[in-house]
Amino acid sequence: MSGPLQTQDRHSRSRLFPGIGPEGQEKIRRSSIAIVGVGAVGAAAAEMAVRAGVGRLTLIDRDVVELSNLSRQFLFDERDAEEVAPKAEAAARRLKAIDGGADVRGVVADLDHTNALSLLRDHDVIFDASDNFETRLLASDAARSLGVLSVYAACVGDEGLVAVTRPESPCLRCYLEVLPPAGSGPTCDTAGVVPTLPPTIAGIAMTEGLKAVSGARVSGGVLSLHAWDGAWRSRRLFESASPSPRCPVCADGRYPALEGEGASEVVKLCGRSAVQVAPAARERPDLAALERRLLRVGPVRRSEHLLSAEVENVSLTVFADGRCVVRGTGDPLRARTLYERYIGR
Amino acid sequence: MSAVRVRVNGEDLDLPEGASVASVLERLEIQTPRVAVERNREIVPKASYASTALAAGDVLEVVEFVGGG
Repeated sequence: MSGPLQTQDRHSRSRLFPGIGPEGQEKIRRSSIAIVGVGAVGAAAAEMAVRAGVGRLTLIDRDVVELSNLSRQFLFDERDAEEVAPKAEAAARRLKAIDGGADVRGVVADLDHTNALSLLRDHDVIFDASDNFETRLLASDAARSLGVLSVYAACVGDEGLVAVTRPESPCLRCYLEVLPPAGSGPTCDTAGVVPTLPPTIAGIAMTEGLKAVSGARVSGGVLSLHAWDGAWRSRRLFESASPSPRCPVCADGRYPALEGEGASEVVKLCGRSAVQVAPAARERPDLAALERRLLRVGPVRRSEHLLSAEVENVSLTVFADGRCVVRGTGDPLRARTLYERYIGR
Repeated sequence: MSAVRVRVNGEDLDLPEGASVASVLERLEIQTPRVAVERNREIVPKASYASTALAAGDVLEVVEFVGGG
């Protein structure tokens, strides 16, 4: 950036806000945030962070831009979709055009127990905008292990959740206890999502992120909101909750996800364009409920022991023990992405 | 049979005597494992939902976790 732009003060309006001021803005400039997931929530959060002057961002996402993302995902455009650009890279490119001085690194990878600590360390905030509970528990355990504040930002359909986890708050594992079984809930790709909701959640959550890095007091508890039926409403829950005495992380200082507990196994099957995704919790999925959700997006056949669905030019076969064989791709990352979208956890 | 009045997510709920946390989830039609319940400011372990009997005046918070992004 040179010429007339250089002499203008990009962040004057933030500095003028008494809650931020010049000192707060300087803290924001010197801060770093790791954003896990650059989908609808993560992309909007990243854009807001860079515009607000966060000095360093690491964006982590295994996925590529598709046309169906553009209804609600910031940063990406038609050219990114045509080029099948990796989201983390396309996002970093666009963010550097917004602020050439921002240090933005895009990592095209699946966050897993072998890379979580090295990718997430050395940041002031871990911002969880991922799309599945396996990654969310991993991000939560990693944040606790690193002693870093984390922000949880999630939505599906017309409901959203935002929670800030400080050292004295319960962590995600305190609430969930165990990884939910595969196929146990709706995903944006089976239940849909109100297109304005993810950026709304991102805005609420990144506001907490900015508060955290600038030294302001963050909100406690879990904010739950509903954006469509009836009046827009929100409720703050669990404000006084303490970490659970039964939580391995908070009570025992053990980090199950970092030890690989809960990790799904993604294995390319020999000699075929097929990949098996085996979730760690080999519980019997509710095949009838899964069939109902998948019928909204494509043909499904179900028997007592398995279910087979056609989506996006691949077939997904889900077995009674929760294993899923994805046929039509030999790429483990693509298979995992499709699994998260349509089966999900 | 006397009712037990508890507060759930800010609203009063009348339940039969002997009702448990599990009864509240049934009444709210929540079946998912992705739920967290706080009773009088403490997280209730899932294994105790059916055995945690409610007392009049208990304050409960219930949230279904969504995980999409």
